[in-house]
Amino acid sequence: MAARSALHGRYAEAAIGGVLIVYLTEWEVSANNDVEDITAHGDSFKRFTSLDADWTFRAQGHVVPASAAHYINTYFVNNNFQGEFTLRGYSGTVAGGTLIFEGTGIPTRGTLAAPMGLASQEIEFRGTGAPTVGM
Amino acid sequence: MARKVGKQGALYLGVGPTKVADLFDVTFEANTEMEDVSIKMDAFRKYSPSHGHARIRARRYVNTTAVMLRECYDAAKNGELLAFRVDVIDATNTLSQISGEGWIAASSLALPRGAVVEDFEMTVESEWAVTQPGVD
Repeated sequence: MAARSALHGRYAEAAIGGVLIVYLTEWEVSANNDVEDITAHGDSFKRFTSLDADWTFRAQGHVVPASAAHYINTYFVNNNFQGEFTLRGYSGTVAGGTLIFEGTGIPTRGTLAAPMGLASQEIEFRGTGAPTVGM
Repeated sequence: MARKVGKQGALYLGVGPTKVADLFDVTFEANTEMEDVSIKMDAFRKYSPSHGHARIRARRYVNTTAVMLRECYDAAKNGELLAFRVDVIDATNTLSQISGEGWIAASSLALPRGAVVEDFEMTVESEWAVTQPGVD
């Protein structure tokens, strides 16, 4: 029997603004669809209709020692309007892999954590408009 | 030089230091915590060292008192940081000796049909060192 091929996260890079996310360990896209309850009298089951959808992109990674070039420094620019960024996820490398997700998002949340273990960082974007690849 | 046997080994504890009497088994273990720093596209896991740990596990026969039990927290809330030294051969500094400080973190007293045995475990608190002072 032929071996089954399934994407392992180790082979899935991601990029923000066309640049590989440094020391990336994890990325995730999640989507949500708002629905309106239109159940009427006499219905035995609830009925819904779609309103609009949204999505978020989140990336998490290690922290480079002795460097201030972390995610929140890059994407949360002091006193400036938080711009829109192109977010891309790949099966494979950013340089030569297959694009499996692409969309435009605005940074909404970032963390830089230094617990009694590995330091870690995370950045989250709220998608604006429909993704152009993968959804 | 002949290979060594453990029966000549010894464990010393406390200020004196004082040799632990009736010891018949002692093991010193040390390890370094490793944090996984693998990232995307790594074919092999990569690690970064974190904290070091060490412990001593030992067993002794009981003649009169279970001395190690009293080093664990009890009604009198005993337990103090003890200096230790493990000798490959008792009081022989031309062979390896391991020194440091630690707490008796666990102890048990067993009363089987055979010999009464006290087991104990010391959690090493400080940076330990292995030396051969008679040679180094």
